[in-house]
Amino acid sequence: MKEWVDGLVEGSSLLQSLPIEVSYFLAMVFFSLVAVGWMAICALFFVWLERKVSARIQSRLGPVYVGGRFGWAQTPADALKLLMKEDLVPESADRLLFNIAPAIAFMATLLTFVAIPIGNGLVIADLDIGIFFILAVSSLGVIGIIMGGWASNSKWSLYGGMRAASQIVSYEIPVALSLIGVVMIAGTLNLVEIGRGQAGGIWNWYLFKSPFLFAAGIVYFIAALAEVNRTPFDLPEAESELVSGYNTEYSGMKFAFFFLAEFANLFVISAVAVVMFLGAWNSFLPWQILPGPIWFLGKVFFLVLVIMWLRWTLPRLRVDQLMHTCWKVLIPISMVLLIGVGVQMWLFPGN
Amino acid sequence: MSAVKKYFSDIYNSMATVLVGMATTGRTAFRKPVTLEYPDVRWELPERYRGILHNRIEDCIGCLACARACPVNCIHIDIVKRGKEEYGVTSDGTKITQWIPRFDIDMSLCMVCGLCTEPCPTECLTMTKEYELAVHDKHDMYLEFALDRDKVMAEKAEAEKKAAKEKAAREKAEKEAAAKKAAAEAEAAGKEGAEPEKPAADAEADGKPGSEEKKPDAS
Repeated sequence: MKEWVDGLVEGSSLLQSLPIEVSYFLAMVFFSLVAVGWMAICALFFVWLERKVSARIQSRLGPVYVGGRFGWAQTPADALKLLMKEDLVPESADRLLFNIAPAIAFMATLLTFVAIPIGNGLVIADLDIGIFFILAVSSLGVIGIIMGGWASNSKWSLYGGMRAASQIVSYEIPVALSLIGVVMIAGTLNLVEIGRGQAGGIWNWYLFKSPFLFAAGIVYFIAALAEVNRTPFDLPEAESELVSGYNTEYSGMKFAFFFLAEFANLFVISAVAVVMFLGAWNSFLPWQILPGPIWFLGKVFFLVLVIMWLRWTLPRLRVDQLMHTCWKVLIPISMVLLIGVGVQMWLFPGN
Repeated sequence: MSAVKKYFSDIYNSMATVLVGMATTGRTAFRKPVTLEYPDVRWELPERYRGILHNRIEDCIGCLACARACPVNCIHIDIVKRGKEEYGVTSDGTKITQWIPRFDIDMSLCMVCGLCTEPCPTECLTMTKEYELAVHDKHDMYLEFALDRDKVMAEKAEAEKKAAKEKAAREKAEKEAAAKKAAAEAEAAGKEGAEPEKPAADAEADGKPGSEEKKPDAS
């Protein structure tokens, strides 16, 4: 978006009179607010969607009253309630860590929103190391979770934090390994470039470019679910075992931050899957019928729907099963797939 | 070799069974909702639903059959019988020979078994379809059906008086109308009009108030 700001400055005499740093600073503030707003909207919408999907899967109705039709105002009302609640800090908690933990978890998710392109070139920060940035920053979230679990000084929280640490750190490896295959084929880490490389029909999407990448897409999907603590892998907050896991002692605004980050993460992993495997903003036909962002958001919401569908289908894994799945299944498979992609590129260099 | 086979068959099974589960939940997602929007929409209750008890005290003859049938003794009835006094009839014609100063049901004790309604000879003690039994004060659980005897009797006497009065007024009006009609007819027909007394006499015979019930003295 630097070009956009430069163009704006050139076109306006008022901005030209200011130092260029001021314009950049204002642009930064503006775009970070855009990211926060977009993240909040996504999270609120997904919470509503989750409640509706779970209700339908259980043959219920879900929210129907608030806001008139379909209970669309249920999650804004809940968010307002959380903001107005008393902000409790347990007596024996580590106050400093307790207070900054939700902010760190929130920030890690927020930073990833900066690098996700929702259309051709429509990205806040067009980073050359886009996917690397997302992988690096999203794993900062686990620090917030461990911090929250430790600072709460509660055994439930501590167990949740420890489980989150082991789980998220483990599952980062298959996530990264399965994405490297795409990076090898695309020849770039830039998410916008990766998206452009998939233009021109469904057969150009990296998911269908090679059988190895198809399997890598599935591995990424499973591992990403585990990385954001979605249900078959929701051990860090296992309600039936740990009350609520790492956020047991949190209430009000701070809990809202954890909650927001969790549901915004849903958008992040789906968006990364769409950009890397499902053709980003390109339509499945050789020509682009609708604007890119509509295709992009449509695919992301479809993936989110599948994730929710999975959540209300599968029971939770045991801790040893979780580790087995990661270290004995997903990591070996993703390594084999990586080698397979390399062999494929060596045998068919032009493709 | 079998370990390798198990490794891959486990992976295959996990993926396949996830799809089976998703198919099941996908099917249930498009089923008609089994829940109702409760306060707005209500269930169609079965004919013999056992809800809160209700006693139509006007029909109660104070036979104590219900209190005897009650397994938890939550029905408390006092009866007063004074000679051959009668207190009216029930809607099915049974004579009420005793006054009931107390007919209380403690719904907080009641186990809603319905045994009390079965022996009731006049079918006045029934179970309603009312199932929202929660109250704000536990004393509201204590249902008192007995009527204030003096008040009821006064009301009854007043009602009878009023009915008699109305009847008298109606008869008078009818009589007047008949007389007027007869007068008009007589005027029209000349001297033949010796009949006007007949319809008035009929009305007199019909309109006698059938009050065989003895009015009890209020003491």
